[in-house]
Amino acid sequence: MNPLLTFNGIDIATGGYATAPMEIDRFVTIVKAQQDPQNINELKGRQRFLAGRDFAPIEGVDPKDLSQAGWGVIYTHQPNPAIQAALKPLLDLRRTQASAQKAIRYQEYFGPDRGYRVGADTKSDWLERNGAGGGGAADPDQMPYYLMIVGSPTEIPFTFQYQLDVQYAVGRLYFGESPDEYARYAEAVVAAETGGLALAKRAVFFGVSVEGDAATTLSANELTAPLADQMTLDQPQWSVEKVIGEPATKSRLASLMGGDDSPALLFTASHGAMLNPDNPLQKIAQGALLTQDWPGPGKSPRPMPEAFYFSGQDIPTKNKLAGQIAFHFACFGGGTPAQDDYVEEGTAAPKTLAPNPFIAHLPQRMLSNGALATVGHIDRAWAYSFKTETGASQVKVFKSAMKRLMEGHPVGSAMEYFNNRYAELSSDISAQIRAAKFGTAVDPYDLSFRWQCASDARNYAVNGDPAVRLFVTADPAKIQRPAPRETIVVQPPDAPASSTTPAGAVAFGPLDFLKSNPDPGTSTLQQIIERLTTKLSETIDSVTTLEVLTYTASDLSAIRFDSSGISGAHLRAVTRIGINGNTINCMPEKDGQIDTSLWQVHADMVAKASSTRSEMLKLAASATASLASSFKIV
Amino acid sequence: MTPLETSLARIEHITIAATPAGAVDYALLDDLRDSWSQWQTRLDAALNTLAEQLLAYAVVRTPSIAVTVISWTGDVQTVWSAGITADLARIHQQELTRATTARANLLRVLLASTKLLAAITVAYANPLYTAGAVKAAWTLLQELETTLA
Repeated sequence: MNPLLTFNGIDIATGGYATAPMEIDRFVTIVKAQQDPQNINELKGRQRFLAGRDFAPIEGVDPKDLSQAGWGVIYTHQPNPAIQAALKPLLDLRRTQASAQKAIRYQEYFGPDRGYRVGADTKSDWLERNGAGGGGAADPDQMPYYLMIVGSPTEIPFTFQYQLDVQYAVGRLYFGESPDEYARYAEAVVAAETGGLALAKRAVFFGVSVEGDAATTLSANELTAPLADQMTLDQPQWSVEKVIGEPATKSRLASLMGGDDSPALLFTASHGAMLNPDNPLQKIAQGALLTQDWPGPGKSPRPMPEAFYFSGQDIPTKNKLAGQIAFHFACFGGGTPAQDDYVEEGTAAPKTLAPNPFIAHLPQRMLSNGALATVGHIDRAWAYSFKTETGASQVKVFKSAMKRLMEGHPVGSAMEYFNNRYAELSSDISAQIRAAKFGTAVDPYDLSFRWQCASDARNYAVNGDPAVRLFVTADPAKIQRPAPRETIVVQPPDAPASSTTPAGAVAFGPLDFLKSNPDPGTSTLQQIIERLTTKLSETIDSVTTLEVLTYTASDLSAIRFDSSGISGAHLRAVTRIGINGNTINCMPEKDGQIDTSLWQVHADMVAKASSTRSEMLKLAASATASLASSFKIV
Repeated sequence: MTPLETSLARIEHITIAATPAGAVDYALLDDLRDSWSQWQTRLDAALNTLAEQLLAYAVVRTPSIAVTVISWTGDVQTVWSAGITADLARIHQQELTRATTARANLLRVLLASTKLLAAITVAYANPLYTAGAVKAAWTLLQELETTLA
């Protein structure tokens, strides 16, 4: 028996699976072709370390206390000063918290000596240059345990983040180069931690389960439902709600992600949307969450309607997400690397997933509208990673992370269970593949299972500050939410601070060039339309007569048609109608008489041709008139 | 509905959504502009192919009965099998009707596409509509490429 593996992820251009189901034997050949992670020795070290004790950081440090654990921010060697300035309120807060016992426990890494040297640094280079080489558990007196990367994954790669995350609690903040959203995020975190935010102790577990789709059926039955059940038992002070199957619609998700029913803690499990790298919508929609509205594989229109998935564009701008932490089990829910993480045996290079690596738009929009952090998957998520080798449900890593979040741990600390799982499994896999190369029989099911689990555990990444936590209360009288934010008017980066733009108006700022100098893309579009319009106009102008020719032939297969006309047939009748209505008819003859039956056939063709011409010219004239006027309003 | 009619209906229902006021993501707009140039050649190619199909001669064959070459403006050359009867001629004329209807629908698709493109071009220059414009253009491209496949 060679069962099929079904993968998470739907291509919204086709509505079908992004990765076709694969026989397990083929998948195992792929796993065997993988290289050891660069930090395999460190992972093995962590596994040995974990055998003796529980968690990073070093013994005696409470990860819930920033004055013990420390906090730092990592920029590139050439950070954007506007972004640094926008984050100042958050950095001031973290400095106060982390340096309460020792100043060294708050750090800002930037500039040529301390920042991440884009295109040059490895994790080891960077740690050694900043006095924390040598590996092992995080020592906050060498380097803070909580580290927030500020930069794109093009500048500071995902691999750096994964590897650093093995020792430290790492998150990433990236909204592009405009400082506005960084400022809003900083403001939201500071408001949550100093403004008395207190949300109800309420967690929602949202699981899509579509009939005929193995991936969502599995995740709903084997992950979301048991996880919610276990958290209900484990956290009696919390209200735990399951939204699984039929109720897991886009409208319900909208109510939970920025709507009136937004909970403090949200867990979602569904397919993530995937698009081809040349699709310009990839940065908007990749990692969007498919909802129960999706009818299932093979049943979706092409392209998939937006009604089937929840993307960053569905996040409202009012900050009802304030204080929320969300965990998304979905392909690309956190971001997308430029190249696929796994390489098929015999292929020269991994598959290109995107022109450049990027953070998913959904978490970016959540963080800029009040959410404190999201956990999402970089690259694809594996549908079987929450099961054991024997097929039983195995959710203890997820449960441990949820438990820590519910008990007030910072999100980076809660994610340590995934890092431990990654370390443990990577060490096992490395040993198994090595053994297989020397002829030892390896159980393909066990190997593929471990590889999926390791890939999953590694690729969950925190978007946001890894030191944020839930601010909740069990006392309904003490629940306090910030007032809904009024419509935010985005100030362009170079707009004067005092300038304001009325709500609903457009603040052009740096985009003014679009009005005076159309973008090259716009110009090209205009050229396309003008060319088509010209072509249609010329064709209409050249039409001065309608001509209908009727031939007969004894062998239709012998006739030829080229630019000079038809050969191999006898011309029998002609009708030419001039633009002024003048008509010339040449009628067919048979035995010295008019061939009336053929003439009737010819006359029918003339009527049809006249009707066709009339309709086409009407449409073409309408088209050219409409197109010619289109650009007058630009 | 024929595939062309379906395609036309879909194109006519493509809308350009506005980003909610205040939620303009300038970094995303930069990203969209980067990708804009990557796919506009495909849009150009699709529309060109559509125009060429429209302006080219269509050949309608009804085996053993007739072959007709028809231009998009209605000029017709037909070779009938010798001894054609009125009943057989009607069969071919029905084929011809289908072909000319398809041609008209092709023109309607081109018209709807170019009208939409004009609206996209205007919307693209407004940050509130840039993301919606790119999305609409992409949906249009997908529809055209499916139609032409």
